[in-house]
Amino acid sequence: MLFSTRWEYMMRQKILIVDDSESVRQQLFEALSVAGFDILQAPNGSAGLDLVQANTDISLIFCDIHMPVMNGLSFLEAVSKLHRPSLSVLMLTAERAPDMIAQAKKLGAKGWLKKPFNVDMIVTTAHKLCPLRAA
Amino acid sequence: MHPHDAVLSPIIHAAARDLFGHYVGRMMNVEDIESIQTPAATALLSQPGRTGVIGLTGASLRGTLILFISDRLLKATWSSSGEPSADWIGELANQALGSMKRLLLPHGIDFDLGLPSATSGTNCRIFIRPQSPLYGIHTAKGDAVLCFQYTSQVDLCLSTVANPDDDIPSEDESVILF
Repeated sequence: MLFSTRWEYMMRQKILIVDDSESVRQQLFEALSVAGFDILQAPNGSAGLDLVQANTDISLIFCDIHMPVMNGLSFLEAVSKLHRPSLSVLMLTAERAPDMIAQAKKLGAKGWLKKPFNVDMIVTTAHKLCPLRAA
Repeated sequence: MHPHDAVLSPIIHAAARDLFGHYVGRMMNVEDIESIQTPAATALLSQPGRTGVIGLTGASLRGTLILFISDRLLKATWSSSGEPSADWIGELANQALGSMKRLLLPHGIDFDLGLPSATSGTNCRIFIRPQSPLYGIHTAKGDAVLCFQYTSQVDLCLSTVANPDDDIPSEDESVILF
């Protein structure tokens, strides 16, 4: 069987973007989709948690900190209680308060990414934590 | 001029360089950001553009950051297809203030950020309090104006007071993997 693109014979990994900024979600969505990932989006932690519970195949989450309804650290805490070892969470935020970084680390986040962000850096990090797998 | 302007000015410069350096695609020079007076700001603000506003509150500092970006420059900061989303200017104001917070934290100055709002459209006016520090930001791709209106009940100084055990990442670290 012939494949027209590299992505067709690789399993597309699923990434969730949780950010209240539509513009951030849109830029990450476009960059990560082109890079071969399936993307889900949520505007706050509560909606993000619903998606995590409904999609057991999510591999990676990019999550903001300051959001209405449910913030990023509360979301991270809720996700950690689901005990999904194959799921990595990266915080993507303009925040750098040491106590928040320490709390995120304690709650199981795999990393802390700085805003302003570069979409190439986001894609590189996604590939590092979420390598494409042969189908 | 507010007595703390000289203290905060380097922080505002660094935050603006960080923001536009990332999104405009080249590092900005210090000369690209200048302290300006109201008439110069009015001229820059007459361009078509959008404005983001975000509040901050903390024990030693509270106020508002207002960021105007011309449409031409705003489009240059946008990495996706089409026009920038309506909330992008608010997100940029949020990120500029986030950078200021990161830079002030090692000096013991902390504050919480509010949720940003975005304004655009004709006859849209932002009231800038007299004597507020204003900065004109000039890039090859367009102009911006940043205004930082604040009050402080204490003497601000940028002496490092951070605990050496604190895990504060350096400004160069865009990605920290645990």
